[in-house]
Amino acid sequence: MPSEKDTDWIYRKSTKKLLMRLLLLGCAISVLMELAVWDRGGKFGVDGWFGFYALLGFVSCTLMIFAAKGLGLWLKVPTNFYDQEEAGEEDEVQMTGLVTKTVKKATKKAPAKKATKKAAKKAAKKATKKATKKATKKATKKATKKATKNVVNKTARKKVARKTTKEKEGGAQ
Amino acid sequence: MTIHPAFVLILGALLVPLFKGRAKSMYVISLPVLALLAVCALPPGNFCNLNWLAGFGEMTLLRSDKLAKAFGFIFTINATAAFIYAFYLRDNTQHVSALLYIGGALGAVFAGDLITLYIFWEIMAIASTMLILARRSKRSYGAAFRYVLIHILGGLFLLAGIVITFNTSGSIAFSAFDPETGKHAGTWLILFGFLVNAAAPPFSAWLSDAYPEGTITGSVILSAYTTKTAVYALIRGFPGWEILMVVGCVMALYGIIYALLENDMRRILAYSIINQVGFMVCAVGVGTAMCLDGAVAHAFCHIIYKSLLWMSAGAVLYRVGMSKCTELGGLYKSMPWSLWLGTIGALAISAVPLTSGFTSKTMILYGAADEKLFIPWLILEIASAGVFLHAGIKFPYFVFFAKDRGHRVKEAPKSMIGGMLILAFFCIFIGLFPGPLYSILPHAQNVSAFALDVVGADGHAHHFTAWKFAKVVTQLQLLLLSALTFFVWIKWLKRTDTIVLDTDWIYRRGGGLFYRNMDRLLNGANRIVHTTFVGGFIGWLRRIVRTAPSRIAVSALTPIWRAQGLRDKALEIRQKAFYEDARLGAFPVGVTAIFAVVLLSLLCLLIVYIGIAGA
Repeated sequence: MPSEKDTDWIYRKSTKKLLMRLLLLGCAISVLMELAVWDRGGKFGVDGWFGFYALLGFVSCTLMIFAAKGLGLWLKVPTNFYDQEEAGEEDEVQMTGLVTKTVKKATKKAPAKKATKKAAKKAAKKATKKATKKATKKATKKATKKATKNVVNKTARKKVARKTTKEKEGGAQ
Repeated sequence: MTIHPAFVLILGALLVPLFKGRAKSMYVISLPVLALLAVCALPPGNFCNLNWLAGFGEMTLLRSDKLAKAFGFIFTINATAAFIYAFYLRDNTQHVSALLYIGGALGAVFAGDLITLYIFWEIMAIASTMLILARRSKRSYGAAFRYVLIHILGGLFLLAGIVITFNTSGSIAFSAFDPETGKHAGTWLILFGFLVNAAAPPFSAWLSDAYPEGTITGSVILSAYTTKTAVYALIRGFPGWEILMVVGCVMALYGIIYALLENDMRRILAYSIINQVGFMVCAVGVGTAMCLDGAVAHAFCHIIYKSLLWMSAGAVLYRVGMSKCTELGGLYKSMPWSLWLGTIGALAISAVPLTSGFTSKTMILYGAADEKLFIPWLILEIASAGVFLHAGIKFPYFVFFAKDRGHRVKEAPKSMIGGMLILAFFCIFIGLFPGPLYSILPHAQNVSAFALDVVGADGHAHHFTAWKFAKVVTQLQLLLLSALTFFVWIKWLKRTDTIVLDTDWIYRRGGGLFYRNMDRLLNGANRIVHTTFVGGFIGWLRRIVRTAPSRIAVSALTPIWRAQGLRDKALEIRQKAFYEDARLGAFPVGVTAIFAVVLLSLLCLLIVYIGIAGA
């Protein structure tokens, strides 16, 4: 954790406190300034009440934030919601083929729903197993290739080095 | 000499590809300056009258009056600032489409009749679509496609309305439709057409869908013209239509709620446009001279501060390459100019005293209060507080402060800063000295530096003063308490990497859902009908028809065969032989003749029975 002095002035807790106090002071001054306006009056009566606009500002904004929060629970979706949908449709087309094949196999043996679930699970497991096997195989192949290459290179380098040292030694002699 | 300002831009756009490098940018900046001069030089009256559309009467391409000129001034001023901002840009597509788009908007504003208006309206729609496409991303292509579809719908509403209106009244004149006697299918359709462009719900989602997908400068330009041209058209055509008060109030609140929920800074600003246009639409609904002038003044100021905000957001996008609040923050050190200039725009949109928004928005509020319209007035006051919440604080706070995300970038290019400086200057100048703005308003008289008299159609004058101590105090109360609310509930306003579903869900996802459900329902019904009727009933009928005569004949002949002494197996063999003969049609001629006689006599009896029953 960076110390209070290391952080930027604007992010310090003391600054935040100071700004909040200034804001509260500003709010208080704005309300008190109304005392200087003798008989402000209002077009509707209500708007002529002392501190009406302050109250309206606080209450309406609170209500709007609450309303937004409530609506957000219902209407918020991930940023890629529509992109997913578009990609999802393509996947759906491809996937349906797989699912229908597995369903056809499963329906021969057992009732439809359970069979489809099982079949889907099996298919998924098989697919993941195959994929992991393939991936591990590829990875191991690559790793071994690299390792052998490295070993070969190292040995070759060593040989070359030995040769050159021998030649040098020979030359010196 | 009168020159149509729209043609300066539209014809000028055609020459853009001939220039290269800096010369291109200079040329593009010079065009709106020339158009501004053309607007200044326009005397009042109708010009460029054409009579080429048989049966529709005379078209007026250029109608110059105070209302049209007020919009002409701001359209060209904003265009100049926008092209200065885009000095770094050398993209022909963007420049040409932007110039055509602004030219279309000017053409619509100066149109003297409905047909001319429609033509420029459609030029705007096409050119603005090109501005969205110019971003050349998959998302922008999708957004542009949806945008143009909605605008084609709006255009069709408008065209149908114009045709019906012409059929009803025999005129293509574009003037105020009477709110009492002028209501018919034609005017309603024209109103729908205008409201689609004004982004009134439920036709609002195109704005928040398309504008954030535009290019950096494209979105700055888009933010100013389509909705404000619609506001102009509403002021011109539908003053005093009470439905607009309702629409405006809904827009003002809807814009705030959605802007509060959004995460992308440009989507926040897009919803903020809807909120601000709501003020203007509501003012048109009130329809008094004060409110109409308030709507014009607010459109003028709105174009300036909204462009400034989009420029600030564009500068951030240009440097950081991100636009989500969850990815931004802590830019106040890296981009101080963008911060301060953007903050001036944010203060102006919030109508903080000393900024332009204060001198224009209060005109609308004053006008609504003057007419004793409590609910619209209250909603607009609430919306004023809400604007400060989402655009005044939320936008600069989450983009430039909030959490430091470690973006250490350069300040925006000088040209961008230059464009923003011009608009920031206007924001403060109009806030301090609103007199020049008030002097171009349609109903203004006796204009001083801070006040004006607004004269209504009845000749009654209302005095309006921009600066009153009580007004400043109440506005400060409203805004400061709104700011306090923001920081009190800041935990509730934490950003998440989400978007908010809007009415575009209906055509983006609802359409597909509807198609799939209808596919399931109708094809399912088809399958059921096929299996029960075609496979079941028809097959049964086919079998019955094929075997029924032989079965009847067998049941009739069996007693005879029994009488002949046939029993059990012999009877069965006889019956089977009969069925086989019937199947093969191998009856002797005599038997066939007997069947025919029996059938004919039955038919005769049936006919005789029907005849008797009929008598």
